[in-house]
Amino acid sequence: MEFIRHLVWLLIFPGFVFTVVVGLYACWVVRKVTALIHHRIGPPVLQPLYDVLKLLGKQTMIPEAANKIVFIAAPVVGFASVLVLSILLLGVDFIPSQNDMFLGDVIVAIYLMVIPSLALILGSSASGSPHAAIGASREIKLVTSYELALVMAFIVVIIKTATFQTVSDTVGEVHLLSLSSIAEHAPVFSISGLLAFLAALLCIQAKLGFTPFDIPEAETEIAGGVLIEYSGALLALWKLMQAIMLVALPLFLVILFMGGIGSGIGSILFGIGKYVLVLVLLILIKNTNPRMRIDQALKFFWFYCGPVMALAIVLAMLGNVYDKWWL
Amino acid sequence: MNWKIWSLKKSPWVFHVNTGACNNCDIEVVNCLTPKFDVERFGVTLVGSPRHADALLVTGVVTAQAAPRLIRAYQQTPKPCVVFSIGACACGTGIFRKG
Repeated sequence: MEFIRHLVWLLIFPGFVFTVVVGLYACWVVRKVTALIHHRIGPPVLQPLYDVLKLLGKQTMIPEAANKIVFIAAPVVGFASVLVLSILLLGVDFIPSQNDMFLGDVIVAIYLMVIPSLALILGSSASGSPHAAIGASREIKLVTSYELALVMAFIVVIIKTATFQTVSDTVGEVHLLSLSSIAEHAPVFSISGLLAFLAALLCIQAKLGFTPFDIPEAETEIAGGVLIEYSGALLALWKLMQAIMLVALPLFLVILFMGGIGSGIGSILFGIGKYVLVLVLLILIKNTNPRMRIDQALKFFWFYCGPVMALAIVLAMLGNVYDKWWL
Repeated sequence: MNWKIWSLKKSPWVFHVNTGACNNCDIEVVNCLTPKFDVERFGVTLVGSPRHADALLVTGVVTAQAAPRLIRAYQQTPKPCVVFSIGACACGTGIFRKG
């Protein structure tokens, strides 16, 4: 019985099926809101599903110059890691917590969030195309530029939530990094938390490959860049991976900064509202900004986001010391 | 109906091959993506690589220079795919018939 329940968690809710359905729906939301901003009508609701079905039905071509094993393994690895990440994040919200079960912490989530980018780099460098090589090199530079600011934003959250926990004293120090105890607080309503949220939002934008930071994909310059040689079922896997990232990454921000989704119908609706808010913010940034050059992106994340995040960490620590929650 | 063909009809991704056109047909193609006509309603998306494409939009007389490239682009497109010839030049060599 226990086994069947775990299997249902993994495969149906909140596992594979649920995540893919929500991911495709989020994908449609992105395209529809983009269309509305352009004063267009936009695609029908099932359009992402049609796309994936069509790609699954098409021939999969593997270029002669490609390293076959890495070329095929990369999308599988990326897809699997994103799926695990989203199950972990949804599990924090929907699976009732048990003491003997490890539901993952911030560190696990950070690792799982890097793997899709690494898979993208591996897959595109294995495909043996000069465009994909340029895309891979840009992706490497982009990862090195945003990752520091993102982790610093998470550190702010950990510092902020740690104070609350010592005050309430319900959880031991071991659980400082656990997602479910972080999800009980909403650090976005403080100065350092707000700064960290804004920086993390921009880093998530870069992670999703949305427009000001879609430098590795840059359709007008390098024609799709990292994914250029992929076709058929492997491209469908990449598309599904990007769709699930649209669920996982905004949800991660909601859990870290806005107090998670919680249980009970009211708080679930409220939580979905928070998720949609983050998603629409991402889409608005995507549609109102031109693409940066890679050196501009690097400069932006290291010279602007980095010092601001350092300031936010100092503010959060001062808030801890002087017991001011709003700092 | 075969589900592969059905889903292909629902989301045709197009790749644009210019084989010596004067750019007018290219503008016509791009014009379809604008808010006025908005072919994304029907799932049509312009993609940057023939590997992602389901339909090749060929414009222009296929010149001797461009012919081998067009064949390569067709070979690189995963099957099933379709080829559209767009405009008078691509359909019947147009004003270049005698020359």
